[in-house]
Amino acid sequence: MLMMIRSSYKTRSVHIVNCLLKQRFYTIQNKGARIGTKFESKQDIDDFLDSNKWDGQELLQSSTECDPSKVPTAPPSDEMIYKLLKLSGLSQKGIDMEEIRTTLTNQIQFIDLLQNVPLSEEEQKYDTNYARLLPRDNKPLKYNEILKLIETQKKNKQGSEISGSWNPTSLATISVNNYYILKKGLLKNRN
Amino acid sequence: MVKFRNIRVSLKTGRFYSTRNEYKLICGLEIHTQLNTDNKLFSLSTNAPFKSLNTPNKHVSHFDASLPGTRPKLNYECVLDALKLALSLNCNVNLNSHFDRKHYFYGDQPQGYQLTQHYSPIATEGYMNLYTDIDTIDTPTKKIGIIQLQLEQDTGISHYDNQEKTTMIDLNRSNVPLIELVTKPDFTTIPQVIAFIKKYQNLVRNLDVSTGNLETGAIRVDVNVSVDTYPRVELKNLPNTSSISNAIKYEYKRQVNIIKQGKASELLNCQETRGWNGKETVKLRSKETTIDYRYMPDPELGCVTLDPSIVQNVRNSLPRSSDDEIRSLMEEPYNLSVKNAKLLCVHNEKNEQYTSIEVKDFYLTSFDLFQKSNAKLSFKEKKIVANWVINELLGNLNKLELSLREIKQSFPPEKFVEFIQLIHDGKISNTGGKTLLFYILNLIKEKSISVELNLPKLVNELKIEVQSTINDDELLSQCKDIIDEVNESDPKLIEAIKLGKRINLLNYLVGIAMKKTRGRVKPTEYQRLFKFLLKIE
Repeated sequence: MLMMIRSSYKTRSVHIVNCLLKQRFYTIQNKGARIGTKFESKQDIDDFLDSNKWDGQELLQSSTECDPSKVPTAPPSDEMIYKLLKLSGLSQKGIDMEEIRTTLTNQIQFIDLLQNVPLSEEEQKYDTNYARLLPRDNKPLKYNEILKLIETQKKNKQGSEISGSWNPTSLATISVNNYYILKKGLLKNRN
Repeated sequence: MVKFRNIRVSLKTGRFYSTRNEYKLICGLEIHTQLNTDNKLFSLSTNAPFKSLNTPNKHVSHFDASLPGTRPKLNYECVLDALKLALSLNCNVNLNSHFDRKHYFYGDQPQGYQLTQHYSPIATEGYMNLYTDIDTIDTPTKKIGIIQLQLEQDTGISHYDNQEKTTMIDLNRSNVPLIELVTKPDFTTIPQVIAFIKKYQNLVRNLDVSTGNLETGAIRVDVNVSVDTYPRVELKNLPNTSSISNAIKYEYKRQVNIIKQGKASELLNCQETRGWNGKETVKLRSKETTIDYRYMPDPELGCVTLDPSIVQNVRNSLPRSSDDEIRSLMEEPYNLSVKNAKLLCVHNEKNEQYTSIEVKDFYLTSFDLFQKSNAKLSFKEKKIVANWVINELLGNLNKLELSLREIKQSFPPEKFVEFIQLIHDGKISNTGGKTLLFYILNLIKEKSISVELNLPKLVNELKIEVQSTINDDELLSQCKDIIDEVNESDPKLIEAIKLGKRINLLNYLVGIAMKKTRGRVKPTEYQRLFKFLLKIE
């Protein structure tokens, strides 16, 4: 679910700014994103990550202000929460059901916000195939260009694409005879 | 007995199922095909999953192992192969396809999702035609519709250790390029399913986009089986065509029995996935436990945007279809039987002695040379090259475990035609020809190097030249000896020949005589003499 949020957030971030994050991201709206000062130490990074730049709850409240007609999202049922835990490979035992419900409700609300960002007429014409981080003006490839791409592509000599150039299982906690080892049994049948 | 035989034939051709009109069999296929590109789909690590089974985790890039910070980069080799396959299957090419993430958690899938083209596949709406003569199906023709064809990643391989209760994971197969093909539910008999799979295997081999082997997992087939309008059952774990055939048979009978017992509303009310354990289909999961894959567009990969001109360019690069090749070999000037034409055009997966392409090249070159040196060949004479290449040469190569490549150096098509010409000109008989051919191939095998072949000299050495002047007395004496020998061991046989009850037995005597003289005397001469001695009209 977080991945979905991240993806949608990035693809429509500019519009979210316009509608919802007027104050916090004022500089982005008017001046565009900018690169801040260089981190000098690990401490700088930790400090940056630890400091609250904006509050999720405040954002969600501001959204209700932005669209007062909006009906609050219904919290997910116990059944739905169990299903999501199972899908995510997480334990269903010893969980704080109410905490999960609150978190999920906020997440769903957040996604609702992203999905309801008003688009201009021009924006509505966009091909949804391009709803991603990459450039929209994708140059169509011709046959010879593909052949050239294939001919010129080379394995990264410094990287890991050369067979046997590194031992992938050396990073694993447990490995036997160059196999990764999973201790628990797995579902044998799946697509 | 007649009844019994009819039933057997029906079972073999699958008509057993189609004749039960009240219960209609409907099948669709999902086929995963590993591409044999040099490198993987989203990295340039080596794509050799089967060859590297004994060296686990050798061909694994950082991306294949899904290390944090790595990103996919599309290998366009795979796009080109997908386009070749799509156009060969008469599909519409999507000039703007893209990749989606299909989420599920499994040990051999380190990303936590598979990159696939579920929503915007590279090709849609194709078809494959099956024909009764070429594909051995039970209707004159059958058109199988193809819904879509998509590029996606393979997973790693899990080896389960039941004793240790652990799973060993090898990521050599992780990120290997796959094409998933989904057909329409157009199959109504088992022979149609098997014919499609075999034809598809031959197609991917002909295009050189995959090894096409079911046994190694390069092709994996899931079959959707339903009866009448009841929900379909998806069959998995089908490692070869006999498993596929048996699993469909079993599943069809199981569903028919449920319907007959009036339990369909209870037991066939929703889609189900079942596996094949070699004897029966067993339930893996039903609709209630269907996995929710939470698809989303992959944000790290751009669309695969192609110029419209690419369709014609790729089409021009395709080899001639096997169907066209087979048809042309069945027509003038070759006039081959469908069996022989298929032998030259359908890729054989296991034979190490020769490939169909090598045999076809050898045959076509030999045929052209033979035709050039013999104006106005009759229908029968034109077949002599195919008979000697397919029946005799290949048979001997198999027997001697020699490869066509090995013998071509000493025994190229030019020399082979010189050999056939000896038979055609009546200088040596068929029996003599067989002796000479085996002698030549054995010589090549023993010498292990190129051999200078002087055919007239060899004919002389082997004493197989057909005698132009025949000494009747000598031959008569020979024939008498043969009759006496046979009479001694089996007197009834000679009596049967005399009474004309079993006319083919005369040829048995001729065969013995030909063998003794290494075919130096024409068989018609022996026939004449045996008839004379046995007083047969």
